[in-house]
Amino acid sequence: MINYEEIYQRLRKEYTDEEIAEAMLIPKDWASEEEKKEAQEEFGRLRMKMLAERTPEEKLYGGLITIQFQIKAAIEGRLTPAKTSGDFLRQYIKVIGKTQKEFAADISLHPSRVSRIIKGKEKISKAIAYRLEQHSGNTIPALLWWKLGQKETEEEIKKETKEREIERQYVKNIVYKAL
Amino acid sequence: MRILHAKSGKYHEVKIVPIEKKEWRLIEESKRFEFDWNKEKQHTVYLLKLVVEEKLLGIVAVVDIPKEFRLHIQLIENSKSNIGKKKEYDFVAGCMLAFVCNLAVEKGYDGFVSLEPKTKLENLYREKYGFNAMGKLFYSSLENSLLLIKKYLEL
Repeated sequence: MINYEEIYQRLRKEYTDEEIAEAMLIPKDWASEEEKKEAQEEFGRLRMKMLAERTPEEKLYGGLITIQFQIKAAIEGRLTPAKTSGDFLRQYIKVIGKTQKEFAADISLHPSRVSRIIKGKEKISKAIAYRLEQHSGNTIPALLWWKLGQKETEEEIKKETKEREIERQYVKNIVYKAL
Repeated sequence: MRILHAKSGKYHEVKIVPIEKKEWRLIEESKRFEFDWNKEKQHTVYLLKLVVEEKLLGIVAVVDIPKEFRLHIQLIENSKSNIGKKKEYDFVAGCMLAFVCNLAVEKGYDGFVSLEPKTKLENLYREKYGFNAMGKLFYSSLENSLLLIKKYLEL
C-alpha cells in the first residue's frame, strides 16, 4: 500500500492543513488491505440502501437532471455513446414513467408525432421545445432541445451530398462562379 | 471553465482532458507533483490545463463503480505552484472535483461521488467542499454536486 502519511508530513513542513486540503485529496492510510476492503464494502451496502430508499420524486428529479446534463454534453459533442433528440425524448418518456400516448396527451400532441420525433423523422420545433420545458417544470429548458436540434442539423449539412444534388436542380441561375 | 489568476485577479480559461500516454513520463520528470502518478495508471486520469498555453495545473484520478452508481475520486493534486499562500491560480482542485461531479450526473449516478480522505483532513473536505460521511468514506450527493458544479464550472 502507498504510504500517504509520508507525503503529508513532507507537505506539512511548508503548508497548513487548510492549504493542503484545498489543493489536494490525500487518501486515508488504512491499517491493512482488509480494513480498506471492509470499509469499501460497507460503503457499497449503504449506497445501495440509499438508492433503494429514494422517493419517486427524487428518482424523477435525478432522471431529469441526467437528461439535462447529457443534452449539454451532446451539444458540446462529448457524449458517448452519442444520442439523438429522438433518443432523449424516448429517455424522457421512460423517466417520467408514462406511455408515449399518455405523454402525447400531456403536451397536446398527436401520438404519431411523438413517434416520428423518436424515430428521427421529425425535428423538435420551437413550439414543442417550449411544451417540453413546461412539462419538465423547467428542468430541461427549451433552449437545450433547440441547440441539440441545431447541432444535429449542422452534422447533416456537413454530410448530406445527395440532398445538395437534389436542391441544385432548382437553382436556375448562379450569380458568381469561383475561379 | 475558468480559474482565477491570483496575482492579476483575472479569470483564465481551462480544460480538463484525459491523460495521453506520453504525458505520464512528462509528469514524473516535471517534479511538479508530490504523488507518484504512475501508480494511478489503472484508473481514469484527467489533467486540468490552461487552454492557451496547455500548462498543466492539476491531476485527478477517478474510478467508475457502476454497480453502486458512483464515481470514486482516488486522488487529486494541484501542481506545486498552486498550493498555499503563494499559489498562482485559485479554484484548481475545486474545478477538478466539480468536473467529476458533472461526470457523475451525466452518467446517471445522481451526481454521486465518493472519497476516502485522510482522517485528519476529513473536516476540511466537509467544510470546503460539502462532502458528508457515510461509514468510513465521504460522499457528495446530487444537491451538493450541483452546488459544486455551479460554484466551480459555471464561473
